[in-house]
Amino acid sequence: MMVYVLRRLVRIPLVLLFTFIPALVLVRAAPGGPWDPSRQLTHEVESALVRWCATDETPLLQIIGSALVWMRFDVDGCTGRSLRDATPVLEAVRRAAPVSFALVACAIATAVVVGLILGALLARSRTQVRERAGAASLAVVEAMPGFVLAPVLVLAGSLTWGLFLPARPQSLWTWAVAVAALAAPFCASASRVVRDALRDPGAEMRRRADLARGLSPRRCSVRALRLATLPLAAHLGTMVSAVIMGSMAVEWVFDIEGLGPLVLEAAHASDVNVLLGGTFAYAAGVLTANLSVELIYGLLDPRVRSRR
Amino acid sequence: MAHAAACSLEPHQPYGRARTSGTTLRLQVGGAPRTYGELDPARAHSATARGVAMELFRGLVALDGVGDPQPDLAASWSMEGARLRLVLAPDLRFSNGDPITTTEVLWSWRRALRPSTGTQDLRPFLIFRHGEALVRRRMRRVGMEGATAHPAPFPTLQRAAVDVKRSLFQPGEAVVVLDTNARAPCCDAPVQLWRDVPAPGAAPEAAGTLLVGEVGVVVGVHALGDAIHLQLRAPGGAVGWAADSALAVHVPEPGIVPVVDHGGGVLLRAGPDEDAPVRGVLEDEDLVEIVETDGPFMGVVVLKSGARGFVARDDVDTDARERAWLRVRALASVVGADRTWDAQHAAELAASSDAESPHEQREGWLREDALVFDPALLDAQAIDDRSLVLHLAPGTSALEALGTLAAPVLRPVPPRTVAAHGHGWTEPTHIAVSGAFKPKEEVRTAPHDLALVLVPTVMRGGVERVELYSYARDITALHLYRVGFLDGILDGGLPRALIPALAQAPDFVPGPGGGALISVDVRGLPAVPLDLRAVTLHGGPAHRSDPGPSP
Repeated sequence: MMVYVLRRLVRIPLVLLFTFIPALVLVRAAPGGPWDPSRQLTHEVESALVRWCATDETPLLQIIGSALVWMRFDVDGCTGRSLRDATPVLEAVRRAAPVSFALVACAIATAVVVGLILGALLARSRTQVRERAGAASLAVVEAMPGFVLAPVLVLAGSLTWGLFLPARPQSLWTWAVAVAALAAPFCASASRVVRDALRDPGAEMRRRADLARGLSPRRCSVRALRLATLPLAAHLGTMVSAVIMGSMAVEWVFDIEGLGPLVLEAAHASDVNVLLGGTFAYAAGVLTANLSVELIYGLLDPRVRSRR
Repeated sequence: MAHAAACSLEPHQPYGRARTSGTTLRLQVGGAPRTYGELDPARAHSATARGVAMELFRGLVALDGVGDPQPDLAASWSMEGARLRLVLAPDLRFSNGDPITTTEVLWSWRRALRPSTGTQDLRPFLIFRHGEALVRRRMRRVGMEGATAHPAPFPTLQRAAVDVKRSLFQPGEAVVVLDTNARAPCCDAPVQLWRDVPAPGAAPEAAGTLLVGEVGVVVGVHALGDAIHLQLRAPGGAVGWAADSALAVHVPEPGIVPVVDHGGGVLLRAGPDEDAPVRGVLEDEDLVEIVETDGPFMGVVVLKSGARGFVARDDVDTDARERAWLRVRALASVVGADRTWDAQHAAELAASSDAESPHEQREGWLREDALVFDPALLDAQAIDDRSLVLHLAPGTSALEALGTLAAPVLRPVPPRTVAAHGHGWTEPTHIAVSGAFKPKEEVRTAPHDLALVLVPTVMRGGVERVELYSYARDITALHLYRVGFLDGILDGGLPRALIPALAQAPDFVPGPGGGALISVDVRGLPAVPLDLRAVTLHGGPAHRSDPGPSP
């Protein structure tokens, strides 16, 4: 397992490099970007860039050179400074990324916990009405994206009823609302996965076998729930990427100083260098999260641990 | 969401809900000071920062609601011809007990004029006689050694040769700068340099570019018809010709030089003596302003930190000052018009100066290091501890002058505190104020929102604390005002698209920037500028006149 982890850790920078290079190619081609000779920038930014965005090198060398500087977490003189005010992009990303990843981590944890509890409850529904109602509710919530749910929560819960602050979460309560807005659809999808896992015919057979062996019903339920975490862990892989991307909208609505507003404002201002920094951060976050998910899966499933 | 909330207001329904902050006043302001350095009245650069500075420091006069001057530090004034005489109130003190006398007032004004102070807005000094020359750094004093005028160090710019008298300028004599041997791009665009003077019909060869912010040294001049072309040496070494019309005279910042570390470190000492205590160590290329010379030492102010002290003459690189030449004219004999000093200003200067011999022209070229910038040239004198006289610029009325005296840059600051702490004198642990509020140091969890906390020096209006916020997005501030977290969004902070809907609400206050929202539970707060003097929170008493700190 350790060898596997080390191999993945070594691969992460390489994967990051190869996902980052297409972004740099786009920046290279972007009109008004740092390599565009006809760029229209303020004097301050222009004098910061003019020394570094050398145009006598071939484009390939420019791109590779910039990529290697980024991989060192250093400030590339040409692509590493904001086109609005020449401040280093990595500084802004370093400030914003922990906030975003904290929000994402809280949302995923919430989705997992709620998914397990709700999925277990829904799996026990015995009447058809309850079962259909549960399925319909999950479908509706799962289909509701964060950029719809967040404004609805703010409009109703804060601006109308004054239950929490509408922006800049300064208390645990408002932070919890932001987490809930992000996590809600993923809670529903996690619940569905857990419910389906518990309803699986194989699961029912295992439960009967456990009961026959003399385990208490409660113990059987716990074992079944533990086994249901495997498909949930498998589902986490796709869920993590969706949560990370969905956090952009929630951060924007709640005005949380994360990567979302950083990237969205950069897009609005055509600041391709900041967009590049955001891409770098998101790519690194997704790769790290996927590795974490695989490790969790390995911890849960001993068969996977021994194979690796 | 904001549209929905604004458009669904009932008639006479305020947009903001009941306050949730008790005795704390929370305001959203644009351009709030981000560093304590901006609390310095001279260095405040935004309208809000200036408003905060005016809460911390009292001025000689205060302006009432309609803009009329009212006594503040100055208890009375009178006009005597072109001279404004002010009498300070008795027993004025800063919050640390230091007195406020005419000495402190004049010291503060002269300090604001120094380049090392970093004053953002020197326009209030235009009310003084020769104020414009001082503000543009064109008024200097001949150094202690005196100086002999030279002809131009390069071919003259005048089409006709100027009959320059080889006159001696006396030490201490005031002169006005007319021209220099340096040029910069005039109009926010780089200037192309050509290898030869561009001739009609010929395609010139490029020799380099003088970028915005760069300064080129004039090494030649050529008149082609009515146009004058200058040959410049750019900082990068490129030499080329450019049209004079694309260039502006560059007057160097007086006395600003870099220090040079020869390997032993550059020590800033408390006095002009090798044995004087060391106040600090400067880094190579740190900029200082020379304010005095004393034998082998120079009294300096460090630009970065504002610290004052003495450095050895050898540790200061004065080469740049030796290379700069200024064409000067003795102040008492300024007459006529000059290309670099337009006719109106020259005539005003000549009319206002005590010219003994108005038609005598004593001018010439001096090296910049032969001149010093002396803020004491400001035409203001102290008669005694409480009386001072200002000589106003021609055409300045008493009302205009008094109104200008309320400006932040003209508010007295504590000299001892400034001298002791340099630019750090406005830190909450050091600052001494004369106004109704002082800053409070806070550990901030969200540094981008809470810009500044003020606490009153005297409890008033039920306000125990003022928090100034500076949210980047106006919608965020609007939402927080809606739920009662913020007590006001000052003028210019509202989303423009919502102003028509918000204008119906009783808590909307019109303003030049679109308007403000101020909670109905907050009284006496104008939409603009930031003015906390008459603020009361719901149920609190109002104090119209600011008593200031107790003697």
